[in-house]
Amino acid sequence: MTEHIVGSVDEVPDGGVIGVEVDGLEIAIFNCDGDFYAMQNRCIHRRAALHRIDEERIGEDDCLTEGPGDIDCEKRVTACPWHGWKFELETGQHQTTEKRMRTFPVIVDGDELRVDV
Amino acid sequence: MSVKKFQPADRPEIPEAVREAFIVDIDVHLSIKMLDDLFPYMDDRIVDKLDRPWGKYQFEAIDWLPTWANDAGGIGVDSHGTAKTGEDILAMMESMGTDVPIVTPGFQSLPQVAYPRMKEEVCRAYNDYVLEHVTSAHDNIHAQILLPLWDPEQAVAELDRVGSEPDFAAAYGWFGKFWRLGNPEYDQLYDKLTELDLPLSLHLDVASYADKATPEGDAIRTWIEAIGFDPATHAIMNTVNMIVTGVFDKYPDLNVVYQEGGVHWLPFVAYRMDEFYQHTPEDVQLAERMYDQNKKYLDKLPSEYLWENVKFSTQPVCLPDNPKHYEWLLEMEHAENTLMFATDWPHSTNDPPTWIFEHPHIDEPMRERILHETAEEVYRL
Repeated sequence: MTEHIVGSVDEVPDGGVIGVEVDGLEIAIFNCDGDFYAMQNRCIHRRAALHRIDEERIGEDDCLTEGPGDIDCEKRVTACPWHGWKFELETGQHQTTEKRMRTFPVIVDGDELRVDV
Repeated sequence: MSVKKFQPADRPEIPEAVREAFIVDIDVHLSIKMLDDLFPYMDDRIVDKLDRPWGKYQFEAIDWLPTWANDAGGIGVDSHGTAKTGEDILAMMESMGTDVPIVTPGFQSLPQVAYPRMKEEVCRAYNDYVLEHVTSAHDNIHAQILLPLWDPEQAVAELDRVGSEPDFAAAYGWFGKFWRLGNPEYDQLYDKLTELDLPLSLHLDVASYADKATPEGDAIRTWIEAIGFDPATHAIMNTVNMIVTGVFDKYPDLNVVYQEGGVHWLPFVAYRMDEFYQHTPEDVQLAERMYDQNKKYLDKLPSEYLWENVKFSTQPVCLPDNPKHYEWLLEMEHAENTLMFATDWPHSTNDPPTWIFEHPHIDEPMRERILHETAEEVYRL
């Protein structure tokens, strides 16, 4: 395992997610109330990038509902923006089937965010 | 063919392979409110009777919705956006890497509505709307003619009215429980479709779950059953009905497309049809169309019509966990001639094209067939 600097804590908004790349691995970094989580950034279902949750939808004003993508910081769960598959941030576990996304330890060192890959 | 590569090459969020491929998406949904948005395009003002508090509910309500099954909220139709205009479709094409969208009307509850005269107004109004506001935005955007499929005579009349418009690539209806298209009354429709060189595209309708007055319908408790499986049984039955009543003997150039009808039932239906036909073929001659053609037997084995005249959207793709099994399915399903790529955008069941580029058992020739070649042969582009 090697620690890689992936950014600073300011770059991941509270309740948000960013996508980074470490040695060719695509990783999503989540921030829930100052707790940071790292998970593979390709959904095990159809390979959607989890960090694209916040993208505005076409015709957003006419949409009656929220998109399927979501970060629920209270439950510490994220839902993929394509089909809403839900994964626990801590374990990467898909809640319905118990399949797992790969997760990585996140080290906060001052303002610096490192991921152990 | 009047369409050419649409995608600019400078969208880094789209994988390079997707950007460079030529992608025809045969199921891109508009989000038109069939009453509110189309009222101005309707001539027969009987529709104004619906314009009162809760009046539209009588027209639009259905029994089953996925609101409980998926707690993301809503009914899943606008999970990735809403498109009402050609500009919205262009934005979708840019975000998904699509080159040619075959725009789908939706209106998946229309077959179960009780008022045929008002429903015909919806069809006429939609077809005028889509030409004015959607296909006009770009040469690559093609639409499907919304047909009043419950009345073949009216369906032909609508094709007479707009069927020659080059922006229409197909005629559109539904494959649910409300009709079987082997019925000889539909021959007038097939005469017209083959004359216009248009395929008949049939989409899942959201009211084709079993009737609650039957034990099957009364037993349903989940969206999985109501929409995941009941409509697929109608896709199977409609396909078999058309084949064994001789539709494709009489109309060998007719193509029928199933959108969202499922695909992996094809091997079972092919083998089962052929087995039964070889064992018990004699009553085929009792079908009116066969009698009128003075035919005792079909010209080919039933499965041959399935592989030659019937096409399927890839969505819902239902990928097996074992990739090798998908390779076998593609072979058994004659995928190089039967499957056409579709997303179902913007519904929650959307299948973006990632799988087709990343699957280890889809090689380049198969990818080309699925992504655009078969669609170019089937649709009037």
